Amino acid sequence: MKANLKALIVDDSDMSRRIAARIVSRVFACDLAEDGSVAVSKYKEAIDSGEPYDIIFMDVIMPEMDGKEAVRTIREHEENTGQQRTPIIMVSASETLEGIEGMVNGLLRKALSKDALDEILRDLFPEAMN
Amino acid sequence: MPVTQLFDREQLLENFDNDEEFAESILNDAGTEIAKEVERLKALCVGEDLAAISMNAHTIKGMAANLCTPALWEICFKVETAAKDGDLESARSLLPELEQTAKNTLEVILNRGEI
Repeated sequence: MKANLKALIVDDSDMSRRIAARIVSRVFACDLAEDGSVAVSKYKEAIDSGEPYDIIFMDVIMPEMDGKEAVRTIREHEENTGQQRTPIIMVSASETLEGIEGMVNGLLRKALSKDALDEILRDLFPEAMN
Repeated sequence: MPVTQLFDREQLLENFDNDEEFAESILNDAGTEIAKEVERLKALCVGEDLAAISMNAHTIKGMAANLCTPALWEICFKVETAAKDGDLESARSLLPELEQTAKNTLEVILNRGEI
């Protein structure tokens, strides 16, 4: 697996962030954010630093800015700046992608599992998963 | 109720790639975090802020999903849905069941999947 891939994990629950980081860190170096607005800030900072995230795992329901609003903000930023699209995987126990269809690259159900993650990553990062 | 409805330890370990040490660290924190959020939900249900009730039930539901505790997930889903639908009385009336399910779940987690 390629070792220098970077992921941003966004979830308002500390426990959920820890669990996601444990599973995702097999493939990615992980950064964490506790809501959508922090995620958008970190996303922009990473681009400004010249080391954008390779993927974002985004919870749907969160206080402050929720995951769907954060996705819209990130996509709008990408359109306005010509920045390459960052793959975004929504993570939720029961929510749907209603309102952001076509804007994200997949939906993972909680509980997160290695097998479900690997299935999505094989599509998005075939070389890293070999 | 089958014990795996309260806590499916086998599934949790599978999700964590059989990392028992990590599973233990999560389970050790689970009791405190769930108990804290249930107390918060009880306090919220005294008031009338349906959005906050829905959000809090959703938070517990997310923990329940990640901990592989389906019965707790189910009752949180019902409270969240009632609050989203604007039905404060139903959300309040489901609280005792949620509290009891959380208590039973935490007992099984404490015993690591055994009754």
